[in-house]
Amino acid sequence: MENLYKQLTTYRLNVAQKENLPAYCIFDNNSIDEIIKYLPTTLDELNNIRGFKEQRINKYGQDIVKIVTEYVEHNNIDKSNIHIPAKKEKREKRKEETIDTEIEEIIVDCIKNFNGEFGKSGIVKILKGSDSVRKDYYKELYYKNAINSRFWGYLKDRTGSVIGNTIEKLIDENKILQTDGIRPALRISDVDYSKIKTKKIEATESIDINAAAYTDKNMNRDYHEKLLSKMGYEKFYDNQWNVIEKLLNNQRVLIIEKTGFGKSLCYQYVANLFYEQSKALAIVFSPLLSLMRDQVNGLKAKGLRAECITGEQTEEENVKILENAVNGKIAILYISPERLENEIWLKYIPEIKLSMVVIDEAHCISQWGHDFRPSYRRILNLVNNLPSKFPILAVTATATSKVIEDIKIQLGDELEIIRGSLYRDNLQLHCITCNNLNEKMYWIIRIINNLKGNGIIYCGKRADTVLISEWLQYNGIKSAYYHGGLNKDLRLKIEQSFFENEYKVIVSTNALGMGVDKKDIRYIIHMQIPENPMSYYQEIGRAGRDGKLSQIILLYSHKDKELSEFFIENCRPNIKKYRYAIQKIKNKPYSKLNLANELYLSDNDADTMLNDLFDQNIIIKKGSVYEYNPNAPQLDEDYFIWQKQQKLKELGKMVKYAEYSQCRMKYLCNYLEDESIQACGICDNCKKYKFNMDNFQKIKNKIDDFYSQFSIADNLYVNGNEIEVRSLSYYGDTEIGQIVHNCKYENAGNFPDGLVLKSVKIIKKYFKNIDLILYVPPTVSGGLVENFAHRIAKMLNISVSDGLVKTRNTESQKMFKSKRKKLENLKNAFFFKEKGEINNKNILLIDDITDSNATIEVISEYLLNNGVKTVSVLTIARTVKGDE
Amino acid sequence: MDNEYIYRIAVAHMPHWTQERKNLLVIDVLHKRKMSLRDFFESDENTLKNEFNFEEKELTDFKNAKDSLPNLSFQVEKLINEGYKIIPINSDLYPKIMKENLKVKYSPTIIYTKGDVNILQENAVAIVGSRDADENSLKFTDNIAKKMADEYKVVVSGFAKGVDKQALDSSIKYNGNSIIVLPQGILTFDSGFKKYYNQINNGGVIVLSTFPVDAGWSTGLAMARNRYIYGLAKEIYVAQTNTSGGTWSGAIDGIKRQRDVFVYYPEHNTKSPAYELIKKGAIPIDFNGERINVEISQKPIQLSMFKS
Ligand SMILES: Nc1ncnc2c1ncn2[C@@H]1O[C@H](COP(=O)(O)OP(=O)(O)O)[C@@H](O)[C@H]1O
Ligand SMILES: [Mg+2]
Ligand SMILES: [Zn+2]
Repeated sequence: MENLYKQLTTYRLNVAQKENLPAYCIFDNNSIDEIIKYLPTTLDELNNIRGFKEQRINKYGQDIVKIVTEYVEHNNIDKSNIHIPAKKEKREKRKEETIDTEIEEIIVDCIKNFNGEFGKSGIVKILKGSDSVRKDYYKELYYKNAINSRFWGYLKDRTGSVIGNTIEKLIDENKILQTDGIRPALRISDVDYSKIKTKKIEATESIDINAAAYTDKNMNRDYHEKLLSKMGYEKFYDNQWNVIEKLLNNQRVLIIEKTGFGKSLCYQYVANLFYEQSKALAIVFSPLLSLMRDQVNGLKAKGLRAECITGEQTEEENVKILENAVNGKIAILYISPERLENEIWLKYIPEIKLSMVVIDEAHCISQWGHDFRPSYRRILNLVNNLPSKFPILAVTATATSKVIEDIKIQLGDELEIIRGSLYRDNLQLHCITCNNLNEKMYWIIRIINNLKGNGIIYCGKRADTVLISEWLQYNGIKSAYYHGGLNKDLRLKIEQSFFENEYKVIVSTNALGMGVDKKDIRYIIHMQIPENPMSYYQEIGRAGRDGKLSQIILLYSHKDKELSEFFIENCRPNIKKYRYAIQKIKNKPYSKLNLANELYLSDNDADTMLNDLFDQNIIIKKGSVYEYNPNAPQLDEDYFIWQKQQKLKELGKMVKYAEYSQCRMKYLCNYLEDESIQACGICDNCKKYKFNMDNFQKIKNKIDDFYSQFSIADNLYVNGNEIEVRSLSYYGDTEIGQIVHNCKYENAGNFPDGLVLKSVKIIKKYFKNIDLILYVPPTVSGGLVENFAHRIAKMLNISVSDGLVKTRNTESQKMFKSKRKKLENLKNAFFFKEKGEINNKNILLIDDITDSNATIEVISEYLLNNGVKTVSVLTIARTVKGDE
Repeated sequence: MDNEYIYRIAVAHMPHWTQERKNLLVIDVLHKRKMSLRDFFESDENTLKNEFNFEEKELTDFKNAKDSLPNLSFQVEKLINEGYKIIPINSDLYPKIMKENLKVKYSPTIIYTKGDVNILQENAVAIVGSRDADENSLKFTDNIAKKMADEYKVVVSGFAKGVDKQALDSSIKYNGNSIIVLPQGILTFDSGFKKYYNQINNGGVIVLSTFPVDAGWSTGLAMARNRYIYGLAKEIYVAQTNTSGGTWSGAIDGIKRQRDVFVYYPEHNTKSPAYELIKKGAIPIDFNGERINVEISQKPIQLSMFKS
């Protein structure tokens, strides 16, 4: 035997020198022992020798087999009773002897740390070597990984071969891999993500996501209607059942049904069923807060597990709800699309078991929709990436073929579309053509005095809601105004009163009413034409959900069209600013405020621009900060032009409705691709109504009286003091606004007496105990305001002072679009010398136009800091904020 | 639009599956059977067992992955919305060199990036070396980065201390292009994205990760990441190495795969690890990256650590 041993080691040494490798790397002594023992004379046999895998066999196999064969032949050895055990057998045997499963974890841990870096002997060395060896070679492991005494103590009484054999066992079990090669290295099979990933859905717990649908293939309508009775309904409407059947089949469905049809029940029923079956949750994207609150309260009242996540709730409340969702305690979760941006929400979502996604008011996801919102684009991305056998429901009452096409592109060709007739036989449509606002105000009074029940007047601008509401009140009609700019509590209060019919009329922007399930809205009046017939159908659809006859009236003037066209034409800042903004955002992230400041943009323009850029995938929104998208496309300027043209076209169709001479309901339904209907027989055109302006002069006089006392209030808080700011009128498209403009910018002389008289009336009505009148000193020159203040003071018999002066020149406030810049511009710019004159006085401050209230704020603060007791403010005009 | 991201991600991060197994599955489904992954995920158990030879354990893995698909949709939406790119192995955007170097066996099934994806198709070199490299090696790294910038080559590095960081900083300094290969999930690199905001948006830097997007840093991932650094590079420049560790094994592996491995050999010291690399086939270069001649002695060395 000695002979063979010698031959093998000599051979090994030669190869090692040739390859410039240590001898053991060619093959080790264990291998030599086995070769001598089993005498492999073929490559197959050699394959069963320890240490010989493909690579070694390829390299040295032929040589070794030759050496062994020569040896066998030379010594006449009978190989027939030598059995070469398969590698596995051998390992099996070794394993029994010296493996120790208790140290597996430590070994795996160690290999993980050096993934692919060391072979078996290396790892054994690390685990068994002396402290100094480890320290020297494996600093990182030594210091980082609690190589604490416990760890090493544990290994102290294990021999190297126990560790080695345990490693082999792990290799056998595929828990670790041995790379092929001259110096085989060990690594973890793959990085074991289950250990690294923090969020993991427990395999044992997770039931098939679609379990509900898979396990309950019961498509029997009777059966489901029995279940439905638990929710307090008897039967499904046919189209409700059509939708439900498809959802239970994991399909994607779009339902287009008129308002009040009962679309919500489709998903509420299914969501509830899924929840009962598998504790999974349906997510409902819904655009309006009031709508969400409504539905959630309704469902809760029925004992169903519904919640909503909104920005109005505190963070803790939202987190609590999300935790409940993770724990399978919620069946339906309403969220607004904007919530997708929320990091907290994203943290929880991977752990929530989902049953379905619902997109309410789905027309919003189409750019054709009248109120497309950028956050709906995120819903699109989401839906686009959902798995195919996952139920999705899109819901809308208004969809033109273009909108449907858009939704279809996003939801895929398999999208099932279920639609009912949009014809509403209980809506009586009218349109009255007016020449100006006065005529519209006339009609409102005439109409409302003749209508029973409660209704809504929709205005295009926030400012108009105030004016019209005051006008109604002036006529003894109980009303309130509502728009998105009001604070939350007030909005809630008005919504509540609206539901309980506390007001005869709510005057609102279109923020009120979408999706709200109030059954008895008896009339809806529009003060201006909406942008397109789709919006119009959407808004009037809110009336008469109870099926009773309801009045729909559009007050239309040609001027509306021009105004709308103007807004469409000027809805965007200059394109150069877009390019400039992109350059800026490319170099550093911006908040809206910072961008607005650096580019001299108004708040609205900044919003528009950022939404556009977001929509075109050029920027990313992260919380309140906007970042560049490194893979952004070029700014698509043509799109803006195209969109403008589309909007003008749609507006044209709305104008056509107003000027139409045949059945109005048929016009609307046809526009919405519902060709099914005949003339309604009840609209003004079908009935051939004529509207004549009886008693116009009488009401016109009342309108004049109304204007002479009308003012707009705005409250300001400075250092904790409330400051009431009253303005005679809005600036812009108003009579007074025009006068102020002419005097101020067109050299039309001093403000006329009418304004002085009105001011006096208002001061008497609202401001009591004024001691002294001050006025805002002019930016450049001119005594318009000074003159005005003196005339008022004289009529009121209150003293007036010229003591408020400027300490330095300031830029015209008009230059600055943001309030912060305006405040900066005015910092320390005002001064009042004779402090004794104002000490402990009630001051009335007068100015011509206020925009952001910045000037008023700075002066009030100065006065209050210098001994003044109270400040009240009167301005002739106020610019319209937030809806220009 | 046929969106398969969630399926790609689900396959790419199947726990315990080897890279090869995942890639073979993708190839099998997409290329051999001309199926979409979407359809594949609808396969029933029998098909998986009989046609795709799934074992019991794999069936469980598959079922778990399938269950998490709707949740992955939310993750994908976030990635897209925040400007990350998800690049599956058969995408045109996938770095070709990675496939050439790592083959089916080791190529990552999916990669996530942020930055200019065109960089991934340029000629790239890896500059590698110790975390605690000395002054001289760092200066060498700087030289090479400059050379690469001049030659319009991309520098690949791993965002570790020492040589990695120097390679990146120098590449930026000389207006070169670089790829940062992360030892962590791409959504956990916020501070880095802040720091390199400008370079990422204006070209110059692309950040790349192969791991689940929310995985935090770990040694294991750092080790696994090394392979991808070598995988992305045509040439490898070793600034400084020990005779063990990630740099060493990567370089050895590169030599074995017949790629150009250059090693900085400043001191002509036959005891240095650089000399060992040269003996194994690395190309010695000087401070400026120029090739130099080195005589190699024939005596085999013994690395005591690995003696059996
Ligand atoms: N199958 C039904 N039977 C009786 N009432 C129903 C049924 N489905 C819905 N409703 C009622 O119809 C009203 C309108 O439902 P909603 O879902 O708000 O309509 P919309 O289609 O406008 O979203 C709700 O008060 C609801 O309770
Ligand atoms: Mg609804
Ligand atoms: Zn009609």
